[in-house]
Amino acid sequence: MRYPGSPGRILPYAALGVLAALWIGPVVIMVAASLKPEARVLVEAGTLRGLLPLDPTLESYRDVFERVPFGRIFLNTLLINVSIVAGGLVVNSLAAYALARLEWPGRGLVLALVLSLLAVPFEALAVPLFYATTALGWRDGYLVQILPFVANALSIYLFHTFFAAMPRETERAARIDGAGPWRIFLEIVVPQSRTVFATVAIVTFLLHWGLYLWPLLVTTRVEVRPLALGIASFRTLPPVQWGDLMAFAVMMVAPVALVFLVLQRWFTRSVASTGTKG
Amino acid sequence: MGALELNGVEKVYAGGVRAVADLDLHVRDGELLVLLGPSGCGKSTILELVAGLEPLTSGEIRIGGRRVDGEPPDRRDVAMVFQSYALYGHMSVRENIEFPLRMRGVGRTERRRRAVDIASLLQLEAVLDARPAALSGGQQQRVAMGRALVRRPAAFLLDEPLSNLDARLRTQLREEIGRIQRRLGVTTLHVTHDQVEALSLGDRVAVLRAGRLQQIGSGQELYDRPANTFVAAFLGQPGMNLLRGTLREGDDAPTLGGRTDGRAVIVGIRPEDARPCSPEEAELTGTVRLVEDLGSERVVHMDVPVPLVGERDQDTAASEARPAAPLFAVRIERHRPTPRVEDVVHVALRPDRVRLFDHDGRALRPGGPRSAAAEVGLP
Repeated sequence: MRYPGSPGRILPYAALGVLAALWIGPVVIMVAASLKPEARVLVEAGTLRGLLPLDPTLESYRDVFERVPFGRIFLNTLLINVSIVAGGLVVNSLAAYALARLEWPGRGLVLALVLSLLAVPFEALAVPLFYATTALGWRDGYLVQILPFVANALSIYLFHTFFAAMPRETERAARIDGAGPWRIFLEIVVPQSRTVFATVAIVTFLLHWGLYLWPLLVTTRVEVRPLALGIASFRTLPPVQWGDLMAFAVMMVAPVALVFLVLQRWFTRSVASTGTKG
Repeated sequence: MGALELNGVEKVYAGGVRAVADLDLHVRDGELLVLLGPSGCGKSTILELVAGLEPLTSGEIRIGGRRVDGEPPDRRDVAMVFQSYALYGHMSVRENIEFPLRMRGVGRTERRRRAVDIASLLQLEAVLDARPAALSGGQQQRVAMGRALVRRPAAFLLDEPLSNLDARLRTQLREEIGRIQRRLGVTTLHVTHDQVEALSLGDRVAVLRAGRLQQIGSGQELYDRPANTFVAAFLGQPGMNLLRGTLREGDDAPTLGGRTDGRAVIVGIRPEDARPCSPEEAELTGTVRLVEDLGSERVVHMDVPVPLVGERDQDTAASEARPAAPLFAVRIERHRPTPRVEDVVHVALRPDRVRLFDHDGRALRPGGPRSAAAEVGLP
């Protein structure tokens, strides 16, 4: 029999506690280190004091802004990500709606092709894509960092799953009421699909915020580079200051955490309704 | 407004499923015609064909004399109420009702006025600014009707609009649908599998089975003079008793049971047209297997020695309503003595209420056994 305090009850919670500590520990260390004077960062690393920002200071944050154009890099990343998310919501929802609801020849084949793209890693496409964008003269700009990621098989899959499960009757009623396909999509389908739009927005944002390989291939100028490249080059910029690096990392991670916290309610609801793991 | 005509309409889905076969159906201007049949008989498909949600395989559909089967749904001038109501959950009741007018470019002032008019007809004024989710099932059903009626369609299509409501509300809204339909005089095609709804609401009722029209007429006609054994067994709770019988040359009445010296017929008798009697008067004697107490009356189900034609022989979908092995049903008024299970009961049939069907289940012309005998080929 299980009673409060029995090993059968305590063990799972203890295991979960250890796992949570493993996940949260590095984040706490990162935040604590970013708030310490540089001299104490390495000294206190590996001790319990490393987890506590005693005598907090914003010195490292000031350093980051002085040593690199952090604002510019941050805005680059924001612009690229917001464009990918916004463009992706439009393009992928429309594609998924056409695949889920409109009747046209070859629909099943196109859906199968789109879904098969889920199995293809981006790294496999990077080189041909690099040649294509170079031929178009797009390198070292924003467009080349945005456009290849707007249409996305995972987003189409998430939208398709949701649209295909929606009852058809409201759309049929709207057809009889005189609405055309665009009106039906914009006035009937989209307002009823807020959860899946939120899910796709979060997933897209999270996937692309830390993008590294592609910007490394197609950009050379710091003026157009995103945060992931910024932090990589900052790490090797002498003198190596671990407190500064941690401050950079905190500022890089903060927007992602914020987006997730704001949209979390929609996200969990949608994941629960679509049965898709986020 | 206008009459609704379906001529030679056929619908075959990809994969070869024939949902509607060679259907001729004429709904008069202002009439309420009910399509009645078991699940899967094609009645909802017919509504979808009329609304333009599904294309015809062949045939034609006319509304007010104008051929519409090539037109998209919004150009057919029909409105439809769905079984699930299909309300727009993110819009208020007012926005739901105004939606079809807005899609047709009706100005804001006119939209508001017509929405308020229809809301007052349907007693929805108090909830005009509420969302559908905040309304009761009955109110949601009214909103769906309001949205359909607000643009004054030439034809009004109702797809099992009462099936999601409880019994009390269903009766109330059934009366309301009838009242509103008569008041607006709109040609209406109403689909249901509920025979009480069909018989009480329809000016005429069309019974369907496996995509084919079985019979069309007033509820009374269908009940009293079913065109075949399917209609006979489908209408009524329980349906008509169908017994194997034989017609012999010179007989005044069919003989119950199969014989070799005559023509096989099916003898139909409604449960209320059979009564317990003395052994001397009895035409049938059987053992009671089940007694259903319905409050105002009791239905006694008996095993009889004459073979019964069950709906299972006639139609699988209709068989759900009855016990697996067909039993002979007798309706007994509440003030009369009721037999108990295992009692042996003698039964007499009202001769003027006996209906005869040929071996294939088609009704033989009324006029007594002699005319029926002529029809099945006896001198």
